[in-house]
Amino acid sequence: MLRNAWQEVRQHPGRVFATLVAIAISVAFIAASSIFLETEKQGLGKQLSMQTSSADIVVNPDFSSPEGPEQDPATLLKTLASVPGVDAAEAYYGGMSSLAHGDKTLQLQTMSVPSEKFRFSTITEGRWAEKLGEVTLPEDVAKDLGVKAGDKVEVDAQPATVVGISDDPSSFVMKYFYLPKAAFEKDGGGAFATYAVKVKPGTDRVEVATEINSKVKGFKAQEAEEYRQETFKDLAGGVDVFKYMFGVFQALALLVGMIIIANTFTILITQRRRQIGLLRAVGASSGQVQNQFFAEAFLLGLIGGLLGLVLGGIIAAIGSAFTGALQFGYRVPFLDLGIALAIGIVVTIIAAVVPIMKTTRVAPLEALRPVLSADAQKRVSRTRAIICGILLVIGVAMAIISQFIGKDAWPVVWAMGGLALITIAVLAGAPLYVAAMLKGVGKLIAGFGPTSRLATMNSARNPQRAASTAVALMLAMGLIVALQVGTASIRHTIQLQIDKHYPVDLIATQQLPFDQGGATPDSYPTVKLSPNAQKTLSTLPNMKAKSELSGGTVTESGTTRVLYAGDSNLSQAAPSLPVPADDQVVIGEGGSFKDGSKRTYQGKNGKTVTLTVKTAKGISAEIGLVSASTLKTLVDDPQPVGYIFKAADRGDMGDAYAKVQSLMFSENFELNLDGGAMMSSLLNSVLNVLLAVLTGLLGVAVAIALVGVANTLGLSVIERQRESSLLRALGMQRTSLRWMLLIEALMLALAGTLVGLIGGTLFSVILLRAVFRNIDLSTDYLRYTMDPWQTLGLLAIAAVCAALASILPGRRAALASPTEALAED
Amino acid sequence: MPQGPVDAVAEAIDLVKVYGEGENQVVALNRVNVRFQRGSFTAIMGPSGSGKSTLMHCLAGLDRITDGRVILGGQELQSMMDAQLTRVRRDRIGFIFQSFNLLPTLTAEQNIVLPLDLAGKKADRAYLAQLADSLGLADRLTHRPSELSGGQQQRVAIARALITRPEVIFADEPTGALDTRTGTRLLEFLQQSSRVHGQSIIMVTHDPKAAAYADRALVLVDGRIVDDIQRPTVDSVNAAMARLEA
Repeated sequence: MLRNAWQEVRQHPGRVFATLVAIAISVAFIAASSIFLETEKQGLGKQLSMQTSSADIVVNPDFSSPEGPEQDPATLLKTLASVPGVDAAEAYYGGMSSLAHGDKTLQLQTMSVPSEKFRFSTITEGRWAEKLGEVTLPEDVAKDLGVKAGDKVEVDAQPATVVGISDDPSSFVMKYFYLPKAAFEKDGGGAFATYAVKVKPGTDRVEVATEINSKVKGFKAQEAEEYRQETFKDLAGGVDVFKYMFGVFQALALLVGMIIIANTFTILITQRRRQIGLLRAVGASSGQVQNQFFAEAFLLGLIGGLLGLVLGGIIAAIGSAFTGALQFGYRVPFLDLGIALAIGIVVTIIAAVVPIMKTTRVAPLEALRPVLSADAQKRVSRTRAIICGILLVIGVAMAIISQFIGKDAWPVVWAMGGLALITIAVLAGAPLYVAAMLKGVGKLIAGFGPTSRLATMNSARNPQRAASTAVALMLAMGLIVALQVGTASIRHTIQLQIDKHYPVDLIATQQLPFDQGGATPDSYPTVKLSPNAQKTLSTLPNMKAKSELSGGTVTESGTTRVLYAGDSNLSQAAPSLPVPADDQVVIGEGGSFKDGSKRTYQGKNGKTVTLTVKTAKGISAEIGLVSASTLKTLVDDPQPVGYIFKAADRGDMGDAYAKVQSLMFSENFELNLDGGAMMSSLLNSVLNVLLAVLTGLLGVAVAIALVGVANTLGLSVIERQRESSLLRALGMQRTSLRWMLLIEALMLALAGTLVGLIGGTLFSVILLRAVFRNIDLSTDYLRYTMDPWQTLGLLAIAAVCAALASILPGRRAALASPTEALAED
Repeated sequence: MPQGPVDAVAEAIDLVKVYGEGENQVVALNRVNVRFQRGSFTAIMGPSGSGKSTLMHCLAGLDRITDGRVILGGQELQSMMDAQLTRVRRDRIGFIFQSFNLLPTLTAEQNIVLPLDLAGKKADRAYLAQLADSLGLADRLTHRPSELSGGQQQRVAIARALITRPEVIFADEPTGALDTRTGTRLLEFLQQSSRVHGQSIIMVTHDPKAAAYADRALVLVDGRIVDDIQRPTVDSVNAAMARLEA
């Protein structure tokens, strides 16, 4: 039986091509994500273990312990060294810095150069950094920056020299460069440190680790291998979350694929009615006929699945080469792949079940009857109409209810339930309206000649088939549109709120220093921007106007505060802020200072000034803005303490944001950043990434749906060979036949996309409103947006793909010989 | 009808048609020379594999020839590009096939005017009504082929073949799928078109009774014309076929 199936597939590969593609894409999706994630996990794991490979015991800060970790590395190292069995102890420091050469800047993690015993990589050029002002770069970083040993670079705006290149492999997630230990020690232990210990030969590592744990508080010592495994497990858990997330989209792709497969088998079986009739006439039972087809389904699932595995493997290889994980080895999770293949086969068989079951209806006489074209305009089932109608009504009712009930009644659940029912009704009821839609569109283009009229009639002649082809597209397109409209609306809504409440784009201010305890050590400490901060802030990209803030410390009612004064650009940099008069202090809303109240400030020089408080939006309540002369009165030597910025393009804060972030790290968080632009930037980057990823994942489903359009067309053309020949004989040109197929494809794609577009938008709007009601936010805040370019883009893509889908079928139809197909058989 | 020696509506000169290559080669037409008078009704007969359908396909521009010349309505077909050939079929030739003549998605009327439609021309409503009437289709024009009987479908095909007022109508076993009575009526109609209205018709058939309606019957065997019977009768045709067996 399988042999027959194989024969069938081999002789008519074109017929099942689209099915194979659909299965292959779905399985490739699953396989690619499995392999990619496993390879990433392995890569990360290996990178991590490489770093601890020269340690016998790893000692990490234990944040869960009641005692805080001992902060001073020198003390800790001494304690560790004193533990019996310990041969040597080492501190690994880490942080973040910017590394610049010429006009290229990278934001990277930093690592201290380990002492010789603890090094885990080797120098390929030059030497390891020893003194301040020296750096050693891993090969990849040096290549990215375009430097070699001996070149000059800038670390956090300070000059440095590259004294060596090492062979550390770097990946997307873990990119770092080496600084000498001195670079970390100078800041008084602010950098993050892990400790490694080597034990004397012959001593038991676990024993020594236990010793360390009893001697050192606030840290956890672990035998190195145990540490590696634990870390790897945590990592793996984090990566596995992605696996489950992907699972949703994989299921969707499979669903769409199933629609295609069911469609294909329906068409194939219709085409082979004579063959089936013959089998039945000759004595095959309907069970045997069905098994024949199940064998074919199995075979298709197998071949398509295997193709998918190969394709997925290639995609995963490309992906992990990009992130650098591939250099650690390509990991193939055989179990997962086996499951993916099994899923491919099972899904194919399930999808083919209904069409195959229908073969019992083929009478043996079919073998003898000439085949009229398979366009039986079946009267669409009345039951279908009734059921879909009921579902639609219930669904709409539930959706409407969700818009009015209070949050305690869970409007989101009502909305999702209602929308689900509506979706089912619309998709399942497609045969009821798709033909009408196609004919409607057909009326519009009827004026263009017989080609378009023929195309309309062809596309609408089998409502069932047209519907199921369009449904796949509706589903996939609908979801993408829902996603886009939803994201665009959320973005717009939040953006408006940000603009309203945070009119100041960006404000960076130096804070009062504090020691570990958190209290100010003395009155009137000096507050000043570091040279690094000054340089970075004054050269931030994408800034239309900036105002330098000078300031100093004062006291007010016994509390030490910083007062700030802007320069002449203040009103340009922050047009929403009132320029403080000489008797005013502008303070952010929401603090303990009331608008109009009076406050008295005293400077280090003993002078006092009473100022009226004016509250303003957009700055924090900790900021007090005064006029330059007020500042001069209270502070004898005002220092540069911050900047206010107006962004040129609030949406384009990516570069500035990156620079500012690494600045925060290197300034040990004594720099405070605030402002609407930062939030917008964050919002945009998060939403953009989310949108891109989700669209990409849904895109797979769309691709499969469009393959379905090609499939339907291709198979229809095979059926209509005689018609094509007749048209050629009667005088239709080849190009006209190609156009006819093109129009058919476009009409199908258009029908699917339009419904998806409308459905997706409504879906989004209703769901968003319900979500807002659920979290008790007034829906007045909601702004619905549809990015017109994205939507047009989608339509264009659907149209282009449909056009491509029609090429091969069109060619086949056009090449139909006027004589061949009309020959009597 | 007055017949001049140069009044040929279709002609084949040294026509050769070969299928396949090398060892698997089949010579379907072996240097056929024949001329068809304007206004004549010719039957082309012969056993299976004789090349009769092939001859019709070549004369009608449905297939490319291997060697020789085919002239239709004064135009040489063998040197035409496909687009031009297609136009010739559309505007100057009418076709009736044994079965599967009609597009299932179109109504009878739409099927009839299809060649005009493809040419972007509007049908002469009066002529259409006249054809429909004389073929007994007046009340079936809005029906689809699936709603018509075999005979009615063939009559729709005839109407379509006539609507463009073609130089020649090519009919391939037009009565093959019909019962005797319907077939007879169809042949009578074709004969009338030719004798009364001067329509040139070339019909391929294996049925001597059908051939008897024609003015002339050609007999093909193995790609050559072996007999040319003027004013054929059932008897003279049967006799010719019997001679082949000998």
